[in-house]
Amino acid sequence: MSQLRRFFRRLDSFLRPARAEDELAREVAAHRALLEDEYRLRGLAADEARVAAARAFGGVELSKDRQRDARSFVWLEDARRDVGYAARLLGRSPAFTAVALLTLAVSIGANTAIFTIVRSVLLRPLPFPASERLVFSYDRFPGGGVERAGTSIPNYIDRLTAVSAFESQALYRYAGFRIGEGAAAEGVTAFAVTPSFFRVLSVAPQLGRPFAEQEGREGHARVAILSFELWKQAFGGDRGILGRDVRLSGEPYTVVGVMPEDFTFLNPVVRLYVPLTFSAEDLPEASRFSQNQEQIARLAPGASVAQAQQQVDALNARIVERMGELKPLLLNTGYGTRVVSLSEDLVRRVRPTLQLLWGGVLLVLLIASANITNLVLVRAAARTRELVTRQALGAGERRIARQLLVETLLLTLVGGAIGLVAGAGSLGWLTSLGIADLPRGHEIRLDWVVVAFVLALAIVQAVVIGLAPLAQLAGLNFSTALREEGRTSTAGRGAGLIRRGLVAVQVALAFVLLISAGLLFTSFRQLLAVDPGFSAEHVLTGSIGLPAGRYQTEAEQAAVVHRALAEIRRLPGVISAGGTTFLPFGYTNASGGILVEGYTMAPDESLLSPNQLRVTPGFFEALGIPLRRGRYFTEHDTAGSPPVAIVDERLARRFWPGRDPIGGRIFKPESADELSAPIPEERWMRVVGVVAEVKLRELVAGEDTRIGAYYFPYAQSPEHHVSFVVRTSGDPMAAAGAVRQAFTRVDPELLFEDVAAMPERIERTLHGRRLPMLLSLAFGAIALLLAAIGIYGVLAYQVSQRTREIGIRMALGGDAADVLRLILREGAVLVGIGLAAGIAGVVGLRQVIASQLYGIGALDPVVLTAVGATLMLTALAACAIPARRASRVNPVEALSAP
Amino acid sequence: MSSERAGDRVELLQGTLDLIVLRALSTMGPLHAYGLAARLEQVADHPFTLNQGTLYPALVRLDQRGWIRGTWQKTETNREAKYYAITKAGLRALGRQTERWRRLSALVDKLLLHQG
Repeated sequence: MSQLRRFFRRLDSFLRPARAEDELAREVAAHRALLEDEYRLRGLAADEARVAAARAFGGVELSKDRQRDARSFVWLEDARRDVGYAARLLGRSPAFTAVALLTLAVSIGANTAIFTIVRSVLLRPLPFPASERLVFSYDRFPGGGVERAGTSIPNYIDRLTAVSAFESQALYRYAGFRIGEGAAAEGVTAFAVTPSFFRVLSVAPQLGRPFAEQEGREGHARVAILSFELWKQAFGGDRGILGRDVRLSGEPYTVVGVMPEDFTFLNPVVRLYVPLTFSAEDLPEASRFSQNQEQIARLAPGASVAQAQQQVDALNARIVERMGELKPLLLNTGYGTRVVSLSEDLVRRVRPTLQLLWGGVLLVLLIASANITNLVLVRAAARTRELVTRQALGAGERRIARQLLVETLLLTLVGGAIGLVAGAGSLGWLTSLGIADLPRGHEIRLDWVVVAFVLALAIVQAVVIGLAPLAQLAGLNFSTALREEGRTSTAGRGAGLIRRGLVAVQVALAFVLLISAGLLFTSFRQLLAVDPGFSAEHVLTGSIGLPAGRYQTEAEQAAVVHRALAEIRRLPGVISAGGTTFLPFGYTNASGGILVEGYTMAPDESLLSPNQLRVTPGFFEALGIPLRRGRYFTEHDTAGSPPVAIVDERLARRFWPGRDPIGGRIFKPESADELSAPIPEERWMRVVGVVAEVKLRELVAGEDTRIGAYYFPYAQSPEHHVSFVVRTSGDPMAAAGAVRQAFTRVDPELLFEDVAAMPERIERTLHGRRLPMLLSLAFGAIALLLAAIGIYGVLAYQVSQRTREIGIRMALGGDAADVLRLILREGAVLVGIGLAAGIAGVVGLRQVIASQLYGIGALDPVVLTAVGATLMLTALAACAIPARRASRVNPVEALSAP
Repeated sequence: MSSERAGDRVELLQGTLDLIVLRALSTMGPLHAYGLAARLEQVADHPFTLNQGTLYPALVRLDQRGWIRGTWQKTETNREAKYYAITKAGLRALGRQTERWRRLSALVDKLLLHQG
């Protein structure tokens, strides 16, 4: 009982310390008064009695401390006192506190933002149950320039039975639908998926049901599943939507389900799911090499990616064996399949970049820590007398140590909290810079792991920063410290070395960061300067989907595109316009193998699968793709006229080396069978032109670069999805409205979507590089600033400590210039050592850095020189202020100062 | 009650001081801290100066357990002082503690004798 009672009394005492504290003071005073009385009775004078009483009573503060310990909870009480004391002390030096807090907030904020991205994109599991078992499986023809294709339906069907390492498999394919009527109509991006899709992902609709197996067969009634967002937005979240018919691109579909709110697969733009239908029974074997679907699969429990890969390889080998005459062709293309972990594959391109950024931001944290450590050291040295006095008054060494730690902990936690909030806030700003474009970018959000990580960083930082002055304190001789009246740096040479070492480290780290920033910046500028081969300026782009119900025949499709183009060309400010099935730097693209008449492939030469564009007249003109030989397409190239084609210079060189391709003929096989069958005369396309090679997918050869390109007239092979390129005389986006209306005039059902100026499209492909570049520039700038503060702090401290020495030097005949040189030399040595270490660091890291660069080496002399000079100049400026102060020391004042 | 049983040395010593204070208050009646300190010095065989630093925590401990109660009163010299008096609970605790202490010291004696 008494124990419990004591607990509550202690708690009360902790919560209401003032009463107990008054009581204690009163009691101690009474005690001493009684002692004094006693001494007076023994015959001492009043003041002697007081001194004797004080001596007899002993350390008042120590007694009080012990009583407090017993009265309340020691650690709680101490923590409160320490925090209060630390807060008062920090408040008394606002400049130090502000600089330290700002430094902390910036470094922790940057770490919060980057770690949030790293965690969301690289570390957090995909938002599907047992997502580590999800894989992509894709076919490839590396020899033909196709590093990555999808999966064909026959391959998928074979794998369903042959690959036991897959528990379930599914195909999906992008599709587009128009939803709503008239002016309210809008385009919706959809996935056509096999009914197994939701089973593979292990996600069920929150309302209704997934697709039934038979709904994936051709000819079955049309059904659809809505995303939560589309359900809310287009149907007001009406629960009665299930079983209702909705019009998708004019066709009736029955809604059977609504997905959960947080469900997104790969791309948040996808808001609708329909079954991918085919009839397994009458699939032509020829479609085996139409890899137009993407395949995902879930590994069976216990199965590995390697096992699945093995089984798929074995199946592929059996398939190739059956191919007869096609077998050598296939082997030459290096045909194969890759099974890769879904989560790893999604982020494969950004992983190194993000890791590098993460490393960079940790360097920023290190620099910040070094900086604050230095500030704290300088402050601790200035506080030696205070600390020594406190120790003399009976504060234990552990007590002082704890006090120092509490101070830095308070500082880092407050700074960390500010940083956390700022970092979280900066995510919105980063979104505008394009982090949402990162793979899994829509999943980027702060979570408790980020908060815990950042908190841990702040605490580690606090301990490291707090330990430095402790180490300094440990070597302190208290009595000499008091005697010397703080004239010299009592911390001695050791602490001075630490401080200067920290500055050199800062300079070195800043150098590494600045070099990275400089290289990424230069690399990005090189990229921007890459010529796509056509003139992107003033070009407006966008796409339409021809409603299947209204434009069923190829003739109807060709005709409406022709009418729309005529309408667009009539618009004021439009110079030229064309249509294409493959929009450069857009989302739709295609490639396909070709055979060339009279060209004999070497025995081991691969079939090529170059970029394939079906374009209308006006396409080359609108994009300004230079004609090298022959002619562009004209209005006379129609379904009724002989098939024609245009090749780019790359293909021309490859298939007609040293000859004129004009008049040559190429054949585009529609299926694998046609590769070996005799080619019908009417299917040959005659080459009528050669155009310059242009960039179609990316400015830099990435992993998805096909070899060369060939073009043939849209009118001879139309398609439902058409993109348009419109060259305008002014701002292309200003013409967007007029172009949209031109389409509606032709047919109100034609929606001009995915509208963007071409330069913007090209730049979008660089977003993945722009964000890291901007971030590394920011890191570099922060590092430079922090290093400057560090240099300034240390030198300023040295000058203040050496005022007497400087005074003596000047009294002995040294002039101001000597002193200036003295201090500058001190700074230059620090910066020099830092730079040398920084260069060593860059040399060590050059391979990591080089992987992120384009058109520039990691040890580029221009960047090295520029960064070195920037750092030097900044450092010199930071040295200059204390050096000038030193040179103005008045010897008389310096020497007569106490 | 656990702290009274605790085997560690500091606790034992604290317990001892608690016992001494309780005993002094029960025999002498209410005393202030100074008086207690003086009394303790007096009863000790050889003069041991009691550090105020240990007396005050003991007083707080005992007060918080409800074994003593302090009230402000005037001394004979007309000074103000806090007089501590033992409570009923304190008297009961004293009985228990004294018993415990006797047993403990008997045990220690025995051990020392054996070893000697």
